[in-house]
Amino acid sequence: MLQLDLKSRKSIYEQVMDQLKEQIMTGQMATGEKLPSVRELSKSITVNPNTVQKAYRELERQGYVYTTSGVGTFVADRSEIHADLPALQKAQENLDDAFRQLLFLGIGYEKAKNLTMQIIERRRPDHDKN
Amino acid sequence: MNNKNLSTNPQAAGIAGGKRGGTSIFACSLTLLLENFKLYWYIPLLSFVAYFFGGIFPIITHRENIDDYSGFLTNSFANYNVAYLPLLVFVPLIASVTVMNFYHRQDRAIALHSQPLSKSRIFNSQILSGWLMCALPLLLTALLYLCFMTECNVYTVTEYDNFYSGSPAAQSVNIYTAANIARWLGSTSAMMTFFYGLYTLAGALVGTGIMQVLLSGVFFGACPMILFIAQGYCQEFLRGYSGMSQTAENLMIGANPAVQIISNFGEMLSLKLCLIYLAAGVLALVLARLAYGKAKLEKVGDSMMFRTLEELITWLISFVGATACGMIFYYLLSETLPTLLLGVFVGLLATYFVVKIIIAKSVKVFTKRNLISLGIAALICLLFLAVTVFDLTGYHKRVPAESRITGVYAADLSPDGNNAYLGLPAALRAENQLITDPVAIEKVRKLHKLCVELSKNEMQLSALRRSGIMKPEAFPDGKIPEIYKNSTDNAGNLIADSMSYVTCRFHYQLQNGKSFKRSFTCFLTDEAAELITELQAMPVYQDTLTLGDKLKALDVLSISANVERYYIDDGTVDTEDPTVGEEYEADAPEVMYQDSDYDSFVLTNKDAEKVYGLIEAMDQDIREQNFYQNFLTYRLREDRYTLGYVDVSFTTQTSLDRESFNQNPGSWDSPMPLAASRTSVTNLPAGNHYSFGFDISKSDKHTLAYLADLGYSIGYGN
Amino acid sequence: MIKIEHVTKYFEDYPVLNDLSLTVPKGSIYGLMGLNGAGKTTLLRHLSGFLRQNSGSISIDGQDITDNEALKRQVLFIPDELFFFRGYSMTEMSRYYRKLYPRWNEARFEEMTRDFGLDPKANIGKFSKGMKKQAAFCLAMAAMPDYLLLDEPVDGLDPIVRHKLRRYLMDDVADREMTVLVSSHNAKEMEDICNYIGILAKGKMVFEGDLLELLPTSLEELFIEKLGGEPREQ
Repeated sequence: MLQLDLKSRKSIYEQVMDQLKEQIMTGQMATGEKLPSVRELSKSITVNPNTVQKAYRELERQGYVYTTSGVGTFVADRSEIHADLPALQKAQENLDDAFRQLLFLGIGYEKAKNLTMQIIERRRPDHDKN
Repeated sequence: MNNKNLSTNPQAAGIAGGKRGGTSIFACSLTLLLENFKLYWYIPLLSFVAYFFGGIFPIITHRENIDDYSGFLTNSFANYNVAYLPLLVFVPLIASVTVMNFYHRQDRAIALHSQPLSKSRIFNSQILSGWLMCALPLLLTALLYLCFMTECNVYTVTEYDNFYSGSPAAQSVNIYTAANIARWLGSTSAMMTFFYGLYTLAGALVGTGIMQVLLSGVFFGACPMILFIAQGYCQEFLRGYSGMSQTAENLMIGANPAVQIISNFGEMLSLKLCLIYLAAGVLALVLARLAYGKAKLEKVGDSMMFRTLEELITWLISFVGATACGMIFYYLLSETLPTLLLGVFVGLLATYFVVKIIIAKSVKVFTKRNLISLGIAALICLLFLAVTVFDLTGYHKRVPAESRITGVYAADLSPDGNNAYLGLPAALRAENQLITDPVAIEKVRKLHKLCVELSKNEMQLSALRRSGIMKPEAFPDGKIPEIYKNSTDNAGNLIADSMSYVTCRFHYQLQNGKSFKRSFTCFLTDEAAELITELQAMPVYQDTLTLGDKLKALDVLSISANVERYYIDDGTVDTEDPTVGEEYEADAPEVMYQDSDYDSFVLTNKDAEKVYGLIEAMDQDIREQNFYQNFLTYRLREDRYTLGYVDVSFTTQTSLDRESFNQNPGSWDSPMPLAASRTSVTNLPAGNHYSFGFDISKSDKHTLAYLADLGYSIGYGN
Repeated sequence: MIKIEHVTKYFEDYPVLNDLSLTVPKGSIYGLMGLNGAGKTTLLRHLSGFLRQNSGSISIDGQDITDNEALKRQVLFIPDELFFFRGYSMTEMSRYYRKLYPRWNEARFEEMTRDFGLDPKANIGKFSKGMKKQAAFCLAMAAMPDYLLLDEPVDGLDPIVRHKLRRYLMDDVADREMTVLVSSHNAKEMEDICNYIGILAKGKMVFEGDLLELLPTSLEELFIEKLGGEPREQ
């Protein structure tokens, strides 16, 4: 299930969002799979249900999930996901920043690039690997 | 439960009486009651133990000779008992302070008020808990009294009564009855409720337990104290002051049950008074509830909950402190006006600031606000002084108009300040006889006005009294009146002592039924002395002093007299019944009473006409007295010394006590007197028993002659 | 829902609450923050029914709480200074609470007591300050209130206890839509558990809003921004 890092500088909300997105994007949760109810999730990870509620709504807004009232929240078709422009930009900035940090360590550009490719390869979704 | 939406205006919701959010003002929580008993069970227990050892245990252990403890038992029933009285005063205090902690400790107050308990419920539960803590020991004690009930007799007829009335043997009354136990329980519960209510009210006005104790002390003593001090000031300074009115005296004693019990000396309180105490106690509790309702709970923990009340109580205490201090300075340092004022000033400042410091729990009390408040307290003191010491209302000058007077009571005007007949029942006393003759009334008024004039130089007169020497400046026209020409000591100096002045008591009956009383102690002028003489010579006036005709008009069942005479044993006096004894009269020249003796004889009811004859002889002597002459020759008269004394006892069908000694409404009107062993109230077949007496001196010629005719001469060897 | 509108409260001449308005939506965990003396405790004391405001309205579920026994059964207050009857154990206190609160859940009480490792028969007066707080929580939460008012609740509690408490709180908020109003100085703690925040200064509300909308600004930063000083950490 979700694992919260209490020492992280990221807020709980952000952590929940990220982890749910990860689970959805890496296929840990299949399309159409039902997410735990707000109640269940908030109890299992000891998080304010309102926070969980908010996260679900934001995920729905971004297209990761859809809600059928009275039934529950389900994983949407990944193709439905529209990249949030600010989120996209932020993600790009983060990547840039991360790579810069790598270069600062003085391992040289080629080494840094190789390291980065290794990481990227590791994150290839399972159904994409051949 | 009722979930109606209340208006969002908190003031309206708070003020609306009766049901609030669905709970009534009589709501009570059994839960809270039980919790209080779980926490504080030791209070009723210890109280009961004290009652047991203070009153029950002695009775149980002496059941065999319980009659010896009849006095103890009657006293206990009146709470005139060394354990019962303090218990009555202090147990309600302890209980009240304990249960009021819901209001005095912030943590407890917050917790309780956050729980689903309305203010009414909290208050009622707490207060009821405390009351029960006081009441249960009483109930148990009463039950124990019932369990150990046995006959306990008080003898109501003494040997003395037997001898003089010739009635059969002693009679007794059983005082250990269920009725008396019930009375004790009822009266004690009523008084307990009074104290409990008083202390609880004090508690509702303050924010801490300690302040509750202090304020309770103030409430406890305030009324009697203030009346006592006011009485002291009036007595000392207010010219014409004739003493506390009955109402005021009743209030001074009755305002506090403890004081009432003590002044009753073991007689139980009347039903009326007990009901008043009960009602007052309940009223106090209602006021406490109102105060609690109005209080701002954020002030819990502060000394006082209400600002205005803080000021009022400070003024009250400051007033008492200032006036008391004034009196203390006056009596201890010098009895002059400046000393008095200094005392008041010092007392006011000291008391005011001490009270403020206690309330504020700090010494930073010299603020502008407090100084203004101090000013008001000073004003109150000044007002008091203006009325009592400086008589700004002209109290001493007032003489009622002729048209308003329906009658005047005979003023007590004899030179040594006593009527001839001593110890008369109220109905027969001279000062209770009303004179309606307009001429007499006018003379009294004239005398009254004279006294007002004479009292003007009160300070000089006091100084005169203290100095002991007669000075012309003390008198209106600067001359010493003729009447004092014989007031000399052995060296020939004109002296002023206790025999030099007269106390004139004026008591008018007005048309509206009210009384008007004044009393002046003054040195005489010739004019005043002549006026008094005229007045006393009037038959209507003399009729108030004489006794014979009054007695004859009553339904006297029996009458008897004991005549004593003093004599020098030089063998010339004929004695019927030589009784060895020595009597010395303190203020008489030594030579007169060397080797003196007294003997006596008795006239019983069989010789009733002789008793009447003796009294009528005395009446005649009274009629022939001349005030002016007596006063003029007082110091010269050998014949003022007592030669003999007559003690008369009589019994009547009707009571002569309507305006009796014990005018305090504190006694039970009961057919079974509990204090029977102390007074000589008898249980004779019929009648009320009275006695009085009178001196016989050389000037009482008719009396001496009558006795001589009986074969009993009195005189020093004559 | 808790609705506070233009409330003013004077202590002597000083306005401790000065035209304060505040709304706590149902089912939310509302964090009340502010410097010392800002009025947080005073406000909570009003909500619990202990104090009465001079003007303005305070309503819980549309009702005035003053002397409202029915409402008080659903509103539980854990103050900063705790109170237990002298000499009482947790069992005795629970017996008292059971009579007052109709929803009393004995099973929950016993579970929490056990979870915190408290001896139910021991005299609470002898507990440490932290244990007393835990006891207060057991009692309050076993009453299953609709509204829970907490004044500096985690002051003096170790992290393990705090975590346990958090769990119980979240369970109730999730299961029963319990509304919680917490006052604290601890910005990090608040950030983790609250979804709504109100910042008080000198008796007035200077910021109120959904915590989640603040992001990426942290609560700490907001605090500093609004109050112009260092917020106090635990």
